[in-house]
Formats: sequence, structure tokens, C-alpha cells
Amino acid sequence: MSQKFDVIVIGGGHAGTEAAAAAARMGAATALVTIAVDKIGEMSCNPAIGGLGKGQLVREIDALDGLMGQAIDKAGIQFRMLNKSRGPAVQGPRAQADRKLYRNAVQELLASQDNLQIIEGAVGDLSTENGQITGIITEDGRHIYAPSVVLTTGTFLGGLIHLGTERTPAGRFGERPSLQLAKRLRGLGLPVGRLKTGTPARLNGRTIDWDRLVMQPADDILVPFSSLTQRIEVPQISCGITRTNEKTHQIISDSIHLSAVYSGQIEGQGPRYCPSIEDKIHRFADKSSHQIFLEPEGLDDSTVYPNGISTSLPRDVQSALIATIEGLEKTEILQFGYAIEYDFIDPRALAPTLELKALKGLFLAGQINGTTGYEEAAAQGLIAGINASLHCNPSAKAADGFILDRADAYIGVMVDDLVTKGAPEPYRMFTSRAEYRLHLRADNADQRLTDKGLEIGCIGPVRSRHWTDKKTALSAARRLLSSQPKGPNVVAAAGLPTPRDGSMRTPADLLALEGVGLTQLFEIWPELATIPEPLHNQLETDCRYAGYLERQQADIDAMRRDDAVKIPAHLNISAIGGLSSESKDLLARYQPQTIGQASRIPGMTPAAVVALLRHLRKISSAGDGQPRPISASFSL
Amino acid sequence: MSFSNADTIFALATPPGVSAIAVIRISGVSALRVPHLFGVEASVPRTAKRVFLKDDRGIILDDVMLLGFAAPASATGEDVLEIHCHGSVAVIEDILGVLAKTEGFRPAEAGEFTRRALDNGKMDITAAEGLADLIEAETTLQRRQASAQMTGQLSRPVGFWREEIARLLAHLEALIDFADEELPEALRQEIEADTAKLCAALETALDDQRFGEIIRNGLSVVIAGPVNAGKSTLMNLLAGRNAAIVSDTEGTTRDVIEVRLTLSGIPVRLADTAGFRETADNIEAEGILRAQTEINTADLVLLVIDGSQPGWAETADKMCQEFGSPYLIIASKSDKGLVAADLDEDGYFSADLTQSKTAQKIEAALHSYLAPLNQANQTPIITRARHRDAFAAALVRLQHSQTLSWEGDIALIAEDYRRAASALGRITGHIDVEELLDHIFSRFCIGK
Ligand SMILES: Cc1cc2nc3c(=O)[nH]c(=O)nc-3n(C[C@H](O)[C@H](O)[C@H](O)COP(=O)(O)OP(=O)(O)OC[C@H]3O[C@@H](n4cnc5c(N)ncnc54)[C@H](O)[C@@H]3O)c2cc1C
Ligand SMILES: Nc1nc2c(ncn2[C@@H]2O[C@H](COP(=O)(O)OP(=O)(O)O)[C@@H](O)[C@H]2O)c(=O)[nH]1
Ligand SMILES: [Mg+2]
Repeated sequence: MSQKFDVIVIGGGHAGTEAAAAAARMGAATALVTIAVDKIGEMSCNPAIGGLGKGQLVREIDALDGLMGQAIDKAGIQFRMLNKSRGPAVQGPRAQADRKLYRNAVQELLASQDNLQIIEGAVGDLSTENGQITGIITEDGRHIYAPSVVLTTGTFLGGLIHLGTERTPAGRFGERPSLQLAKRLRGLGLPVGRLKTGTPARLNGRTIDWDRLVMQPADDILVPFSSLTQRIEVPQISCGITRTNEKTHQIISDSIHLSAVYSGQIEGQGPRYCPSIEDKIHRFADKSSHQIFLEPEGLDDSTVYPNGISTSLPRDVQSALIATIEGLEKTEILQFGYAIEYDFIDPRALAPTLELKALKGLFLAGQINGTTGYEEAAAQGLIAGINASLHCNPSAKAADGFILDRADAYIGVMVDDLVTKGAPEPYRMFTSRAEYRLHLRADNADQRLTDKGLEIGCIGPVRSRHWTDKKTALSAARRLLSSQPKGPNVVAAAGLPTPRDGSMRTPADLLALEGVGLTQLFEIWPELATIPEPLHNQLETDCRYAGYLERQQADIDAMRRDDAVKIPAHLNISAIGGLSSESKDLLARYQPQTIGQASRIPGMTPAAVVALLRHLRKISSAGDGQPRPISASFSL
Repeated sequence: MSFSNADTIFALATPPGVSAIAVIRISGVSALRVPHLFGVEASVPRTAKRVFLKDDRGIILDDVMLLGFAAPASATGEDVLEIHCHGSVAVIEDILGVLAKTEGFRPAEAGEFTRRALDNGKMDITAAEGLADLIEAETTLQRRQASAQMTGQLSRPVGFWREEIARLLAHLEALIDFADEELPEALRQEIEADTAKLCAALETALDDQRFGEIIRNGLSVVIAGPVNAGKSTLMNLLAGRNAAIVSDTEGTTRDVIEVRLTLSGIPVRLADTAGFRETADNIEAEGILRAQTEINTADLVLLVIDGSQPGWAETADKMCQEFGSPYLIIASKSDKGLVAADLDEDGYFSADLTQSKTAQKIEAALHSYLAPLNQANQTPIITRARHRDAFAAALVRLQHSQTLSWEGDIALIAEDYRRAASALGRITGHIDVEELLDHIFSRFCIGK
């Protein structure tokens, strides 16, 4: 038996589900092939979605009609807006999830998606022809054909679990790894590396002494992730906060040599921002206590995830250290913590469409690209799914594929970071990675992206209608805000701050001032009361940031100019004049595709970028005006 | 001719013309094979060797000293050979001729040795600027300043400030991205205190009367004044030669004429402008416009005015109001009888510009402007407008950040630091996120 599709997605994790849904929304006949259909949408580690930087990613996925925002809105059991007091640009929505509700929500969304067929099976091989992918072969011998394949196998490739000195091949706890496929990918000559991550023990919540712990409740006002969600209906829970103490630390220091991470048994690089408890104690010896959040994994599930004590120490040490912690003295451990090591493909092998440069039609997304986190995986899945469907549709409008840049979205920042710099450690999103952070906000993701999505065709009819309405309301509101300027007397009479220059102010001018909100302006401009309440926050923020955003626009233009200067694929690097061997080496290793990318390579000097540009200008004698001067102005 | 680092480049390193000794410098992969081209079997790295260079017929060209440096321990970071030969034009031509016709060798482009050094990490940009200045230096002060910059006068403090901004920005980013972590309580106070220190350091560096740029570019002195007042005569007097055309016909000096000279050890760019045509008692607007840009960017304006004309002092006073720069009033034609003026004694001095000994008098007066430059005991950090712009931009942002409320929007405070970092980065290379994350993860225990 053989089957034929436009797009095959391998893996039903967070990357795979978004990829499959996106390709199907684009109209491609799509197959999602995954090892266990009932595990689709499984959260491998901490049951939470969103956070700082990550929350923005989820909003962006939602703006492109992805699944994650809608799924967490049906499964979130503790919604909180992080950084509420630190400014609208860096606020990130986060919600803890009921693991089962989340899985169900993802599976339901997929079930209602047209053009999508879900197939259970472990993929063991890829079929190729003339440097082009043609399909996949399952371990049990089924050959399925498609001109585009998206590979999203997460931590499963060559996965190896470490618990103390014990080692078990696995993709996740209790799930088999993908060894055959791992071998096949190494055979393709792809740049494969090893990374590691870890997870804490899971506790039985019924055996935790909650009464002695500080509890953290959900927000009073629950702000959904998806703009399609009217209200969060899921009941909200609190989580507990406890701490490690000196006794805990003593036990860990005494046994640190038994930790898989410290015994030198693990070759993969782990993330610095997600350290194991043994890491924290080793590196910050002067800190006598570390915070732990006790997060219930579900409404009708007594499992508790102790956030903050990920470990790969042996079982008996884990039991002993947990028993020293306040509230956990008598706690039963349901599953021990572990570290997992897995294969990843150096993402510098990818184009910004997430297609492998060396094998046309094969797209990679998720943890396989060296990232960590559900949101990062999902965002890549979305991009890969869209591009996979564009790839098999030669009449598609976007010939170069669907690429978001660093000023469009966090998604653009992430993809550019990955394909330019690779992943020397597991890559996670932070707001500090975004140069244009004031512009890339969680509150304006739809304004940044939904029109782009409509243009490429990845937005379904429901969102399309919803967005058109919102857009109309927004532009009406903006018109109101920038008209009817009033003099200082009127402004002062309403008790609002009145700048002394005596000039006339529009509502937008006044909103730029600290401490002025939209409702305060109703007295002067009663018509502003017609602006729908859900739009208030983002309109206020837009006005407040207007000056900064204008200044940032010049930088964005310069960045886009640099990104528009393409570097030919087969550039003879040794022929570039005035370039140090170090810079040549960097160019050879990173193979930047644009001048913008070249300038973002760590260690690349402005002088070297200028030399490269000078060379490009020389070889493009065609005189089409390209390449133009770069932003990194430099002169000697 | 290809412009590639694969070639071995050579150039005469000493001034052209007859001299006792001349040095030819060769840099690149084949530099150390050069002795073979002249029939000499010598291994030269790290030694000085006296040898006889021969041409391809075996005839001796010169008795020379070879100095070899193997990569990367050389000025350019490549293999380098120096030939110290006799400074005869014929000898030099012969040696260069042999090199030029050898495959893989070519004459160096202007500044190419420096650029190779820069490319090979032998110097940072500021040091390279220093080297370029050293080569151009015409005065002792310029030379002193250029060598200071070459040896880190600029890069050391800038490197330190860059580190500081990166560290402070990293702290701010930690407060934003790791808000739910247990960060030190005193972090905000630390950031505020260190920012104040950093602002003070930048202010001090900027408050240098622009000495560095003046030393480097020369003090710009502009001669202004009404037509026929004697501006061109003054110019010639100071320059000691007929640089500008002197005539009795009004409006002879059409364009700005510039001469370079050294006064009190300070390089000076002296510019003569077209005069302001005076009609009745108001000054013709167009005349002012023409000279205005020169005048506004000058370090010093010499206002020449005919002191034998009644009302000169009032006219001078009115004109000076318009100047944005320091000025000195010279009442010329005192030999024709100076009209007494209601001006401060120190505010002007009178002169007969047709007398050559007047030159000393004027130079003495200028000296009081120039001497402080010469006496500045500290070599200034800033030597170029580009440094000043970068520091000033960084300072403005840091000062702005101090006006923002921490209770409000920290992202805006961080935005100021990001801008300050990118301004400084224009001199030192940009600050990458990875660098910030390194700071954060090495200082704070972060992560669940
Ligand atoms: C132990 C552990 C700890 C983690 N800790 C954290 C953390 O602290 N913070 C954090 O943000 N993230 C953490 N993560 C990462 C997070 O779980 C992943 O980043 C995210 O799930 C990656 O999504 P993905 O879609 O790339 O892969 P996954 O969610 O892993 O999905 C992979 C899918 O591919 C399928 N598959 C694999 N091989 C085949 C095959 N050959 N044929 C067909 N299907 C196949 C699997 O069945 C699975 O459905 C952790 C993960 C693990 C396992
Ligand atoms: N007697 C006398 N003549 C002067 C003096 N200074 C300039 N002149 C003459 O005034 C005329 C105009 O001088 P010039 O330098 O061309 O004036 P400019 O238009 O200001 O450049 C020339 O004939 C000069 O010789 C001075 O101090 N005394
Ligand atoms: Mg003249």
C-alpha cells in the first residue's frame, strides 16, 4: 500500500501539530505521522504555556491562526500576566495547564481540521531523489509519498535518559526513542550535535502539606491567549511555594559526583537558564536557599510538578533531598527526575524557511533544531508547515517562502538567531533577544501578523472575520485619537497634565504622557467612549511608545536594507580582499545568506562586513544598484 | 590587479628620495621567501642578517640588512620581511622591480599594511586610527596624541565603559526577563549608582574643549570682516606668503581660501573669507551667509575691521553678536589714524597690517588662545568627531534613563541603555545578546 500527500509531518508534538494544522489550513493535503496518536499534544516537561518572551510567541502563533493559544485557553488552570508592573512591551501571559485538557484540546482542534489525516507509525527512513525529498518509510515498511516533509521529532532522536549512573534509551520517560531515524539523519551527512535537558521528580499532591506553604493564586482578571477566546471557562487553582534549605544543599553537595551531569557521563550541552538543582548549588554556593513552585498538573490529577528542582541524581538521593523541604517531608515521589540527551541538527544548515539547504523539501522544526520549550517548537512548526505547503505549490505567490524578520515578530528573531548563529546551548526565547522589543508586543501580535497570514493563506474563515472587525474598530479609534486637537485651557480644565508650550493636543498626544489613560479623556472628547474597551490598552501603549517607535523605525529600515543584500550561495570566500583568516573562517562556518546575517555573526567585525560588502559590490557588476551601503557605518 | 590578502604586498616604508638608509617592507605568505629571489640563502625570522642582494644575473644590487618576523608575531600578523638598504633611488627601484615582477607579489595599496594588521586582530579600530594619525602627524602634539591612541588611550576607557554598559544593561534585562526569579534587592540601587558614575566619566571625557580634535585636525581660525578691511592682508601676514589675493578692488576674495600653518606648536587651518559688503549702516545679508558656515564652525574668528573708519567699533560689535564662536577684533589701518572707540581695552587691538613686524604682535595675541592647548597635561581621549558623537549620544540616553520612573516601565529604561550601548558600540563593536546573557547567568542563579 502506498499513499500520496502534499505535506507529511513527522511527530505529533508541539512543533508537529502546528506544522500539520498550518499546512492543512494552507490547503495542502497533509499527513501527520506520529508514534502514538493518543500522545499527540503531550507536554513532556513542565505543564505550562507562555511566560516572558514565550507568551509573545504564543500570541504570534495565534495571530497566524495556530493552535497553541486556543488549546491553552481551554486547558489553563492558572492564568497570570507576568511583568504586569514592568511595562506593556515586556508583559508575557502565562498559564499552567491541565496536562490532559491540553492534550484533548490539541487533539480536538486537529480532528476538526480539513485536509489533515493522522497516521500512527514510527518513521524510520526518508526517501530522496536527486537531492529532493520524496517521502517517508515507517519502521514497519509503509512508504508514504510527498514532495514536502516536516521533521519534528523533539527529544526522540537518539534520546538517552540519565538517572544517576543509570542510562536508558528513550524519547521521553516511558517512551521509545527514534534510533533508526537518528542513524539515517547522521547518514545524510547533516551536522548533528548533542544537547541535554532535565526534568524534576513528580510528586503526589495528596501527600504534600499544603497548609504550611505560601500559596500563589491566579490573576483576578484572566486574559486569554487567543483573540478568538471570549472568556476562560476552566476553574483556576493556586500553586504552592516552598524552598530548599541548608540540609537539602548538604545532601546534594555530598552526592554531586553521582549526578549524571557532574560525573561527566553526559556529552550534550544543557541550558544555563534551566539549571538542575545540583547545578545551582554548585555554581552559586553562597545562596542558602532556592525557591520551588509546586504546580498541580491537572484539576483531577494529584500529580504535582515541583518547578525549580530538576535533577539527575540517583533515586535515593532524590528521595532524601525532597524530604528535607518544608511541606514535602512525607511526600511520595510518583516519578523520579532525570536528564535527557538527544540529537539535534545544527540549525545553520537551514534556510530561514526552515528548509534544509542541502535537501530540498525537508523542513525541520522544534527541539530537533536545538531549541527548548513548547512555544519555541510550536512557532517553528507553524513556519515550517506554511513553507512546506508553499514548497509543493509552485503557483504560490511567495516564491522565497514565508519569512518573518526580526522587526516583524519574535518568531522572526528566533528563526534568524537559529539559522545565523546555531544553537551552542538549547535555545529559549527571552525578550532581551528582540532588538525591537517595544514594537513586538503580546498585545499587538495580530496587528503585526494577521494581514501577512491572510496574504499567504494560513488564516481560516473564523479568524479572518474576527480580524476584519477588529481592524475596522482599530482604525476608527485611531482616527478619533488623532483628530480634534484641544488647547491647553481645555486640557487643564479636565485636570490633565498640561505641557507648558501652549500647543494644541490631540488625544494621542495626551496619551503619550505618563499617567494618562483613555477613560480620563472622555470628559473632553465624549466620542472616545465609543472605542471598545478591549482595545484601550494597546491604543494607550501605541501612543505612549510613539516616540520610541519612530526612532526604532530608522534602525528597522537599516536592518532591512542589510537583510536585502543577498550573499550568493557559492561565494568564493578566499577571493574576498581585506578579510582576516578569522573572518573568512566565520563566513565559511556560518554561511550567511545576507549582509544582515553576516553582521550578526558573533565575532564578525564591522571591518570584515565592509570588506564583504565591497567584494559583493565588485562582483555584481550588473549595476542593478545592489548591494547598497550597510548600516554598520565604519570608516578608517 | 586583484585586491586580495592572498598576495604578498610590499612598499617603501621610508620617504622617497635620497637618504642614508631606506626600508622596504614586505608582508604576506611569501615574504620570508624574498631572500631567495635575490640569490640569498637565509632563514630570517627573529634575526637580523647582513647579506648581499643580487639580481637575476648574479650582479650585486646592494649590501643590506634583513629583518624577518614570522606570522603571527609581526606588525601585520603575517610573515613580514624588512629590507634595510641604502637610500639610493636606483637601488630602491631595482629591489622593488624584482618584487613587482614576481608572481604573487604586488605593491601595497595605501593603508593596506594597517588594514591587514586590523584584519588579523593586531589592532582595534581605535589603534588603527591612531596609527593612521601617527603617519600623518605634522606636529609634536599630533605625534604624541597619535601614539597615545595607538597604545590604548581611547580604547582602554571606552572598553571599560562598554563593559559597564553591558553589565548594567544585563542587570536591567535580568529584571525584565527573570522577573520571577529571586534577584538581589539592591540591584536597582546598584544600577542607579553605577549609571551616575558612568555619566560623570563620559561628561569628563566630553568636557575637553575639543583639544583632541583640534590637535588632530588643526585649530580652525577664520578671518572675517567687511570687504577691504584687510583680511587677505592679515592672512598673508600670518602665512608669510601670498596665499590670498590682496587688492584694492572690493570683493576680490570670492571663495574661502585656506592655509595650514603652525602657531605656538598648534596646527592651524587659517581661512580667509569673502567680506561682508557694507551698505550704509547695515550689512548685506548675502555676504554674511557666504561666510556664515565657516564662521559658525570655527574654533576662533578673527574679525578684521578698518579702524580708520568712524563707527567701526559699533559695526564690529554688531557683527560679533552673530558669531557662535570665540572671536578677536583686529582694527586695521591704524597707520591711517585709529578712530577712538568705545570698546573694552582688551576687547580688540589695533594694527597696521602692512608692516611685517605686526605679525609677531598678532601671533602673541593668538598665543593666549593656543597656549592652553599646548599645556593640557592630559592627552585627550577623543580625537575625532565620530568618537564625540558616540559618547555624546550614549550620555544623552543614560541621562534620559535617569529621568524615568522605575515604578513605571522598566522596558523604557532598558531601551535607553540599549541605545547607549549601540552608540558606544559604533566605536568598540556592538554588544551582543549572548554577552548580556553571559553576564546574567554568571551573576544570578536563574532558572527553574
Ligand atoms: C525531560 C524533558 C525536560 C524538558 N524540560 C523543559 C524545560 O524545562 N523547559 C522547557 O521549556 N522545555 C522543556 N522540555 C522541552 C519541551 O518538552 C520541548 O521543547 C517541546 O516539547 C519540543 O516540542 P517538539 O514538537 O519539538 O517535540 P516533542 O514535543 O518532543 O514531540 C516529538 C514528537 O515526535 C514524535 N516522534 C518522534 N520520533 C518519531 C518517529 N520516528 N516517527 C514518528 N513520530 C516520531 C513523538 O512521538 C512526539 O509526538 C523538556 C523536554 C523533556 C523531554
Ligand atoms: N594702510 C593700510 N592699508 C591696509 C592695511 N590693511 C590692508 N590694507 C590695504 O587695504 C586694501 C584691501 O586689503 P585686503 O586685504 O584685500 O582686504 P580684504 O577685502 O578684507 O581681503 C589693500 O590695498 C591693502 O593693502 C593696513 O593696516 N594699513
Ligand atoms: Mg580679500
